[in-house]
Amino acid sequence: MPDFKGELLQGTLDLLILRTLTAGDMHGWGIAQRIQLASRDALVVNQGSLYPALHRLEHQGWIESEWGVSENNRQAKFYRLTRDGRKQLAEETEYWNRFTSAVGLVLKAGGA
Amino acid sequence: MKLSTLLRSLFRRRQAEDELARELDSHLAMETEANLRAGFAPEEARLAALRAFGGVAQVQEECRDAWGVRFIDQLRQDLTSGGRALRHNPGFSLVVILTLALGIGANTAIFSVVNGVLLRPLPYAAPDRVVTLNQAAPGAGQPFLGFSVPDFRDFRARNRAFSALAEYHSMWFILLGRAEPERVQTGVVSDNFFDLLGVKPLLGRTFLPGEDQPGSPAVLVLSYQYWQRSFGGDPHVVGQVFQMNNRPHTVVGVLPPLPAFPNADQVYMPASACPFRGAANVIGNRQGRIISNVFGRLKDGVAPALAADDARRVGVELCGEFPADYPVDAGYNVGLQDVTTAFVGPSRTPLLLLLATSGFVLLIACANVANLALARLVRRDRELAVRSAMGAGRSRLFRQLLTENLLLSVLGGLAGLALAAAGVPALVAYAGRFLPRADQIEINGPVLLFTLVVSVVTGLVFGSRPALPAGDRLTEVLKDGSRGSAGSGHRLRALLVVSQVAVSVPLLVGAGLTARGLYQLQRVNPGFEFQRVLAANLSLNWTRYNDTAKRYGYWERAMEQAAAIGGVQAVAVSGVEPLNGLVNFATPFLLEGQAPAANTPAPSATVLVASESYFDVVGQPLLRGRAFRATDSRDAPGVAIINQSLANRLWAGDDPVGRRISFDHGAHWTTIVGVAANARQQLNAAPVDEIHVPLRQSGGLLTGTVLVRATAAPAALAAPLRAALLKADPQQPVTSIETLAEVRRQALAAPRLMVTLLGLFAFIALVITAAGIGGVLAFTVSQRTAEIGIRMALGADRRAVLWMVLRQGLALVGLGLLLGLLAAFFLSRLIAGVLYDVPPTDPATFGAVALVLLAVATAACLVPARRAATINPMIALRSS
Repeated sequence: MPDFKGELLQGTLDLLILRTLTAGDMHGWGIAQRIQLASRDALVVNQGSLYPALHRLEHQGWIESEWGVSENNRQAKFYRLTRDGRKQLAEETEYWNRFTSAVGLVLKAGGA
Repeated sequence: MKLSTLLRSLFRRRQAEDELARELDSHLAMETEANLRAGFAPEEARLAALRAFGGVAQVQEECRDAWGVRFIDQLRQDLTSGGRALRHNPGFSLVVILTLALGIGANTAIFSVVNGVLLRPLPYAAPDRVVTLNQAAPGAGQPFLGFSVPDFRDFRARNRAFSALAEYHSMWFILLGRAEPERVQTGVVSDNFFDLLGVKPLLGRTFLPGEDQPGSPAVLVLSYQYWQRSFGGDPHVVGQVFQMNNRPHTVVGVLPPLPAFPNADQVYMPASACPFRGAANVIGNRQGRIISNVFGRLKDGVAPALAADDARRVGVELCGEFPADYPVDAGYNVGLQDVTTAFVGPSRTPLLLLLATSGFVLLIACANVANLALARLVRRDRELAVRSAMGAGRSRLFRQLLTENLLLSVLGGLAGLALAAAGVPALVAYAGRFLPRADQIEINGPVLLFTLVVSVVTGLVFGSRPALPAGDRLTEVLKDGSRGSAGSGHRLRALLVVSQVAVSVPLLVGAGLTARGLYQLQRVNPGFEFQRVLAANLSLNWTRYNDTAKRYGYWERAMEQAAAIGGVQAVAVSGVEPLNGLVNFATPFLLEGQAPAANTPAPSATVLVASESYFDVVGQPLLRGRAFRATDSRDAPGVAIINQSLANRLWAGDDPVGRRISFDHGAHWTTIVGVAANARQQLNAAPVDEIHVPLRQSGGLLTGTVLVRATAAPAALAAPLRAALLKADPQQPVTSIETLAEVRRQALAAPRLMVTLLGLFAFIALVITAAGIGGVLAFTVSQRTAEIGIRMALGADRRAVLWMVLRQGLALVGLGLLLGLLAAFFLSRLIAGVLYDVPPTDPATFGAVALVLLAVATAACLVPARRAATINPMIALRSS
């Protein structure tokens, strides 16, 4: 069995960021930690691709940002899900579920 | 895409950059803290954080990509570096911008004229569906016949292609009831005229259905211009009553601004209000062709060609039914023109010629700039190679060069726009007298767009070609480290010079031909001695001079008073002002002893009214017979003086003196008492057949001209003449006073402007081309300095070097000249229509152009050739 190295499929980072932000406003570092935690360390977010993704999502209007103070009293940029972002998340989640169940079906059928 | 983020990142770029840096910084700090908590040593913690993050700069760049401003960012970079490059080389930039400014300025100015006159749609509803009908009788020498009231009625009743037909003619009437009697040009139209055009009144209303029927009360609609000028835009003018033609006329409306088509009418009245149009003998007379224009609106779905066929069919029907009114040999026919062509058609050829010419000038300018840019590029080879080695992609380099060129061409376009903005008002002021719709000429949105497009295309044209070869040779340049070698660039430059010359030649030929045409026109002897004659034009107040005797009385008094002025040699009165270019309609008449043939149109000629001394005053010689006498009065037998042209046509070889003609089918006979030499009523048209009748036997002239022959310069007599005419009747306004020389000058104004503009463009083209030839040769010489040095060191003398360079330049010029002459030979036919009395392939003009071009080109080649000849071989060899 090939080793699962926690690498993310193309496009899934956006989905994970949007999902993570449903828990509340969060800065970039926190988002990365949270994803790692929620996946029980199975997924490690490449920090280099996190920020371009955040800026891209902001540019698309799915998230917005604001400067604030972190838990450790540090200046940080906090991201928040917008209404458009919630809609996008719903669509992408729906798509992801259909995709994974379809892949699962194929795998089951092929394996039997 | 979210616009606000894009805008923010564009305009608050620095802040965005700062925020990005702070964000990534704070991330690294948090990661470092986490690492410290996990037990890393302090310096280790920071390094691990950085490692986990990857390249900070790379992440930043990817984030910027996400902002969507990369393209604009690079553009700004290109513009900055382009601006820097241009500032580095101010001479080059200045020459390029000036050259382009001339080319683009000329094009902008001419396009603003073309746009205003030809392209702007006329302010009618669906103007492409409006046509004018014209009846012609070429067999009777009448290309513009007009329509009679029965004609118009029948066309209206019988056509199938038009949803409406409207009639129009124009007259001068005196309007009373204001401070002074005013002479107003009046459009006389059918009630549906404005509805057909789709013109809605600005105030009040236009004409109501039935208002053009006999017995309707007289009403007036004012033109916008007249309302503004004479009434100061007073909105209460509607409802006011004025006296015209002995009847009250009520103003019912004011029109919006309309083009002066067919004439610059000041007021409009329905057909029934016009005393001439309303007369019984006009309404019932099929040959009383008083209606000058018939307008038609095509029915929906009817093509213009189909409508033309339909109008022709009606014409043929009428000719068949009324053969007496439409003699077969006169060749009656009806034609159709769309209203825009009818209005501005005659200006189309000259304007398009000017636009094409200015376009050629711009092409030549482009070639020059391309050459300059090419030469500069060779010097910049190394800079570009280094940029390439530093990682600039080929497309990026290309884009940078293109940006530089566009920057240049847009700057040139701005300067050109300034030139055009300065020139257009002068052009309009001058051309307004003979160009229709001159008031529509302005630098407006479409013109600015045109200039922008021309500038950008110019930048692409001269910019893209030089930019391309650089890419191919970049690495090569770096490797051998040489100064750019000539190679393919040289061939391209030579080609540019050849095409510059080839394009200049037709321009010079065109300017030369029109100049020669103007020269011929100026040399035309109109058949008058116009130098010392002053003319005063008047229109008598119709209500006060309401019978023939009163009118004779006025002209008598006017001549008496004028003759009393010191310095006046002789005085006469004529019906029309000589040389004023107005077209006179031919009048048919009967020859005594010659029964009218059934199918042949009666002979016709222009009838002119002249007082006894007319031929003396204007210096038109009498060839046979006698002048008019005071005894040729109303009760005396009718007499006439015909011109040579008519004498030759009707009595070739015989003496016409003593023959008799009749204008009223034989009721009264007029005896020809003299033959005058031919004179031109229009400078650029051959003399027409003319019959002069004496003032005392005419209807008395409501509109006429007092002509004064002066013993010295006539202009000085203008004020005394005006005073003398006021003495003859203090109530009678004088329309204008001018010398015949001025009238002639005005007739030459349009061709003179054409020659001036074409000459100016050709001159600009010649200068630019000369600069181009000289520049290319100078560049070649500078590239070949070492080689020339070697040649001289080996014994070539200075003359040989001079000749070598000269020959190289003249070979290109010769080739271009040959191609250009060939092109001119075919192109000049297109302007045959605007040339007066010069064949479009006039050998003298072609020869002169070739000589001028060769002389200028040789002079341009001599400068670099002499520099080559004075190269010091020692210095040249050492420096390489």
